[in-house]
Amino acid sequence: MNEEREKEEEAVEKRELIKDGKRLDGRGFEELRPIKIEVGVLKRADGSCYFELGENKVIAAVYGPKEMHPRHAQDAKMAVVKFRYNMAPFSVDDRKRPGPDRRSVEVSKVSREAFEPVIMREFYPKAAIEVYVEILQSDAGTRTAGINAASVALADAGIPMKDLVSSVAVGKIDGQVVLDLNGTEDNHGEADMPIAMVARTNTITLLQMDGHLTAEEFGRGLKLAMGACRQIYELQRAALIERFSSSNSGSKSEKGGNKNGT
Amino acid sequence: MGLEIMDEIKQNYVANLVASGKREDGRGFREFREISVERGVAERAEGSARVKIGDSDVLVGVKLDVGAPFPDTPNKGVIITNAELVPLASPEFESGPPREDSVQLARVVDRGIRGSEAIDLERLCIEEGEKVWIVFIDIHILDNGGNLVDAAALGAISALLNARIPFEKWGLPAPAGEGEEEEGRESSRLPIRETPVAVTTAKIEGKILVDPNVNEENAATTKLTVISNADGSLSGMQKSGSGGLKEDEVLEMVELGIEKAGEIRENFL
Amino acid sequence: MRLDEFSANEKVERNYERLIYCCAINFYSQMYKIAVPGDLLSEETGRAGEGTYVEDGKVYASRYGVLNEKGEIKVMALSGKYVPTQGDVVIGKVVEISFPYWIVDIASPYEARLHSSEFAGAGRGAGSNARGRGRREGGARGSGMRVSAARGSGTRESAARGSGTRESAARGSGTRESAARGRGAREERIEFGDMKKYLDLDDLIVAKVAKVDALMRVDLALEEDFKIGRGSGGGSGGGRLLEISHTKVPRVIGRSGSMVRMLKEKCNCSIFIAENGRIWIKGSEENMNLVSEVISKIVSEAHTAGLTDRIADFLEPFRGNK
Repeated sequence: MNEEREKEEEAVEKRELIKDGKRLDGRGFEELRPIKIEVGVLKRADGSCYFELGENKVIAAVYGPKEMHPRHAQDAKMAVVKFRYNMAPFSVDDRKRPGPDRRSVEVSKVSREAFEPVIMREFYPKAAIEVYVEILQSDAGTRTAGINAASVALADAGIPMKDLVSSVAVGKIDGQVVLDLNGTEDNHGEADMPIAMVARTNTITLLQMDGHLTAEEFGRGLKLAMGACRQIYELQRAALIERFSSSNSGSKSEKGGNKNGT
Repeated sequence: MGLEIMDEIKQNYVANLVASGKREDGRGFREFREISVERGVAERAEGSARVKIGDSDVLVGVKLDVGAPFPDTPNKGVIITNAELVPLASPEFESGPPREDSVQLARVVDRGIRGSEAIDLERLCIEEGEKVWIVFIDIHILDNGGNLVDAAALGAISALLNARIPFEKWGLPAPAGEGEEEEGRESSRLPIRETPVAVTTAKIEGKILVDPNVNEENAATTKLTVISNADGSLSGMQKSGSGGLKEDEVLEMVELGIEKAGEIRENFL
Repeated sequence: MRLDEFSANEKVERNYERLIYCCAINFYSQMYKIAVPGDLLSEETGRAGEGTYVEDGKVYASRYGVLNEKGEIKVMALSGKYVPTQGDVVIGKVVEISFPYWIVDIASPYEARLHSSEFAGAGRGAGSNARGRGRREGGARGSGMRVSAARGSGTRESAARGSGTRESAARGSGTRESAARGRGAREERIEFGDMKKYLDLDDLIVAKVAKVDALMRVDLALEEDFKIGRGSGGGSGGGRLLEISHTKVPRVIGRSGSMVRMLKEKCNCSIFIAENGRIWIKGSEENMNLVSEVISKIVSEAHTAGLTDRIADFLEPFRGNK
């Protein structure tokens, strides 16, 4: 392990995130990290999902629809969606101070907005639908993992939705547009662009960009991310179907991909 | 309740106008409101700018302080961006801890400055690992007429261009080869090497229009802010609102954003 | 409080239909087809039913659940919160007294309210029992009559709605009943301090959803034998309250009530299933434990086919349990 870390650091030192057409973890440019999805992992929540994306470990829970508090924040025509993205203090190398910071406030906001187009909120006037995403272990791409988990958890909670939402990031490392940056790549990369999408309609419901891209790279990255969202959607759907296709409750869905350093 | 119903009527009115190819204030879909930029308006600040876009009114102040660098970037200065939607600017703004709108506003502006590497942070290092300049960008919204992001981002880069490093105040020598000195001021300019400009487009009734005013913002399901640089490259992006966008819409918004940013840069920076 | 009385209820009737289909497909496959939100189900928009939506001339799933493609295309969610609709019969729990209403939790995002005039013109307990008896006699006349009786009561409600307020509806029915009993139709008002005497906090009641407005204000009307106990541990009556997802109620009832009938017979319990997913059971402690166990089994296997048969097998050793 240590040896690998050292090698990795050395490569980073030399600004070599790509070698012989492969990335440090052995992936190709357009390859996702391994994904694992488990549905209905929490007993208390109305819906839940555990989601792994490479080294990211994320759990999402949905409560509601329930009575909205405070009352003045109720919407007489539709349910209010509350979304809380939170990183566990131990989810990162340097302990993160508990509680919401500005980053998590922003991530929560854009994640909530990524779901508003699909949740049929008009079914529950005045009520609240609460989505909680906890990042247990982080390795870049946590918001996308959180959205993927929340999507499955919302379905599991029986919330009426027009579609599932799938999410992934693209970025740029060593001048190359690549899919799904891991932590090292993100730290030393030139750009990071998370998107969320409704796979059926190709509708983008989250789009952020951080770093530096040319307009051409942006267009290419967007296409790449959209394609990957469709792959992730298939995995989300498979996990949900599988849950009730076997007689036992709880289901797992995994995608292979290259094993990296485990 | 009365207010809510009013809002809804207005939303429908604005949306219907847009659907028929018109805007409330008679602008074209690719047309900004009138912009004004006034620099150096806050005397106590190291740099400042007041930007008006239509009746949106934003004041940005830049203050510099000496402090410790982040451990992972010991030879770089620090940027801290903050936005306050003070209650005087809108009946919808409340006092209290920052709400997600103001957090998002600050972070998007910050993203543009950072992503474009507008400030040469290495030149803000005083003593590696010990002392660096900390650049505080404080965004103060005075009147919310819509599209605060573009006004704040333009205010931020304008204020940075206006800012001087207060070497004298801290008893520090001005580093050799720094930006030109100006008469009566011992400090030199901040090392600014890029001028990121944010342009927000909104989608209403399936139509894309630039620089939404406050009523258009309320009627819009989705907005996209695109921050671009002098060479047409991108250094930040943020979708907001509860709607979705198609790929061709995104590309149209990006193209429009880059084009408008060029015009703004030419006229105001 | 027999289940048969509920078969008159339209919504439960619909649920039976779904289950008839579910049972039918048992013969062909052991697995139900599961749908996920966004799944394309059909291009015949006329067949779009519960748990689906129509967009651009196509029918898509809006819920995650069991797909039913016979006739109307439906997706039966396996989880989800109960949203009251007019005519539903629910079990509620009094959570607040706010004159002139009792505020009632009905296992939903929306609390319901019961107006004190529901009791006006009738003495505590006795009056409502009389009311209950009257209806039950009607019910005993046979299924055809039962349905029409239920329809009759529906008409009465809509007539009352026409006249305006919920209060007048209650008063109207009170008047009618008192008149039938040869009592004076004098209106009695219940004072705030007296409300507790009629219904106190934690009391469990059976009620019909009389009205749901656009703001999701829910008004209840009392059902016959409305008071069934206190809290979840049961009060003087010694019953027990179970709570399941309302989406699984049809499975507990079974095709044409087959499941619940079997449960009642083999466990020797009275079982009352309300549409909000609350179930009131009453019997010996041992029998109630058995019913609880079986119901939780039904709930956890609600998505599987052949459930009635498996439960029958499971209950086989308990035949004639007393």
